[in-house]
Amino acid sequence: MIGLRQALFSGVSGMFGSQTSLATVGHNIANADTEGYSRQNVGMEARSPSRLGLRGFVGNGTQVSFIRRAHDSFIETQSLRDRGLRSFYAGRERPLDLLERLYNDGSSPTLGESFDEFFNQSRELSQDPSSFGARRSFVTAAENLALIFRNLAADANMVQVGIDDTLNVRVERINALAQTISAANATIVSTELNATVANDARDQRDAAVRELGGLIDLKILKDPDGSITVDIASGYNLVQGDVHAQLEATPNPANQGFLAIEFINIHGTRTDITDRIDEGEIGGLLNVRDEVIGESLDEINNLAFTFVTQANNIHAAGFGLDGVNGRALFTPIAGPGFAAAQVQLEAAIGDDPNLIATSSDAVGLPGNNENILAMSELQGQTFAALGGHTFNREYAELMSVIGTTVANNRQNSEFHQVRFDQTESLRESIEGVSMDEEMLDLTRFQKHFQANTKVIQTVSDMLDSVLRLVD
Amino acid sequence: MTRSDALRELFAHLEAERRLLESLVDLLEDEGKALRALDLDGLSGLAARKQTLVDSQLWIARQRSEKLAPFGEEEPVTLTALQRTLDDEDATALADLRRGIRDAAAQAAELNAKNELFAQSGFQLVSGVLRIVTRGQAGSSTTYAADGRHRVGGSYGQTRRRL
Repeated sequence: MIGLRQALFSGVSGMFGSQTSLATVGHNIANADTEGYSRQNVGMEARSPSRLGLRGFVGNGTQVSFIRRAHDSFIETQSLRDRGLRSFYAGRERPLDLLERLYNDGSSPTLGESFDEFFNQSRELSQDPSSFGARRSFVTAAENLALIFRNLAADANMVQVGIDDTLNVRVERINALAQTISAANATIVSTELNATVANDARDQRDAAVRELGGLIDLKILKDPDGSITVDIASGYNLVQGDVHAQLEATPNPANQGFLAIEFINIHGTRTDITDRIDEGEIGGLLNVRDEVIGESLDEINNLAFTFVTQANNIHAAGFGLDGVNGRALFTPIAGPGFAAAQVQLEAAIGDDPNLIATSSDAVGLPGNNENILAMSELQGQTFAALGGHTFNREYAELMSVIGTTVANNRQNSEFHQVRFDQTESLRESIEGVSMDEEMLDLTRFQKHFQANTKVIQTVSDMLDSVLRLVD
Repeated sequence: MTRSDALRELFAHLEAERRLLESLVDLLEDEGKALRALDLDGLSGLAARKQTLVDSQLWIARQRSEKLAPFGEEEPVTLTALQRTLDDEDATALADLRRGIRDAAAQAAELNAKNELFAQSGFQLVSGVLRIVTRGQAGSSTTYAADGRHRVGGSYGQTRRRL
């Protein structure tokens, strides 16, 4: 141990000549700087003190096994958190990929292309407002645009429903794991009363806790009798001793009937904890369902409502070949909520393209094209309701946000997988070695990483320079 | 040196630069794996190779302006400007070399940025464990008087008798 102290306190060794005083200094300095430090705080146990002649005794630090327990506990906590974060991002991956494909699957036209086609057909029709063929093509473009809006809403909803199916399964799994942990707690407490270690029950419980940590954010508290308490979602007591609470996934009418996660305590009291679940696969799924998809649907609904309202306003101002004005082009929508699912060409216009209001007045029929020209000019207009964007730009912005979300998620998923791997590697690397070696290895690691950061910056600057020079 | 010779030299130089960057990409991939596994021995071996590669890359990048000098009247010409003055075949060859360098450099930059994150993550983890080990190894707050009874440590030299 003296060797280790030499490593720790070499900076003060010159001030105090002997190993004995160095040991004492190390002992005291360490404690002087540690607020509230006590063996109870870190779960350590003092070694037997060494006698120092007539002057008294000097402390010899702590038992190695207890230190190991302290850093094992750190790694265990870290591992649980890393597992939760890794599962959060991994859980988001599949629904996010589906969402990205909804907006751009490469096979069917995108909403942006459908907007282009609608406005192109408006311009075509303005060339010859009396042409039935041009009117028919305009109707087809408008119907396609409406269909794309409706499909987007329906498909996004299907992804959300798919997430709910997974949530149901995961909630059932959490209940099963809670039961396993509470049963293992009971076995451990009763077995270890007889001074034997319930290895199998402990292994079973550890495995259940690890799996649970991948599903939901949790905190583990170790009780003195060998049992553990499991809190989930920032403070909801799932397991305590040999009893456990339950979760239930129930439809929430306030959230379009999507599932809420309810916590049912041992007295049967229910609490909706959906908004408190931030990590684990369930946290990731809820995030995609309610935030990512929810927000993208809000944007699409707003786009749909703005477009239908603007197109209808222009259409109502014009006259069909029958000399009648005031007609809507699309079935009017009351508000942005769920607007995309309601975009529908007016049935009468679908049945009779001659009702398309191409003319700005009845007198100019059939050749007046001013109204359909005004329709085509909508393409270049910006709207306050769309944040000052055109329709196409608003859609492109949405695509960009989704693309960035998917890319960031992939990056985070990879990062947290690496972080998890590192924690596990660290756990392995510090098992089965002496504390002195361990300490030196860790210090080498630390120094290497510090030095590496500088080289990384050098490489980064160099590559920036190469990229600049090559252009 | 004829313009044609100068061009051949420049192309050979750019090809060497591209190959060097590809070696850097391979090295950064290995470094990522070592960082993921917190393999200190592996990282130590890679660090020396990395430094050599970086030094070579910096040197070769500086040499590029010399290779470009014969194509500029007074000021050094850029690769973009040079490409515009070449015939189709040479312009295509130069464009390919530039693309190769750009792709390799972009890939290296991405790997380097990732490795920085992995290194930071490893550093945080190791520091966390080190903090706990150091605290534990440093000893408890207990010192002992001549009679063997506990004293509770405050700052050095300020022990007091435990009541």
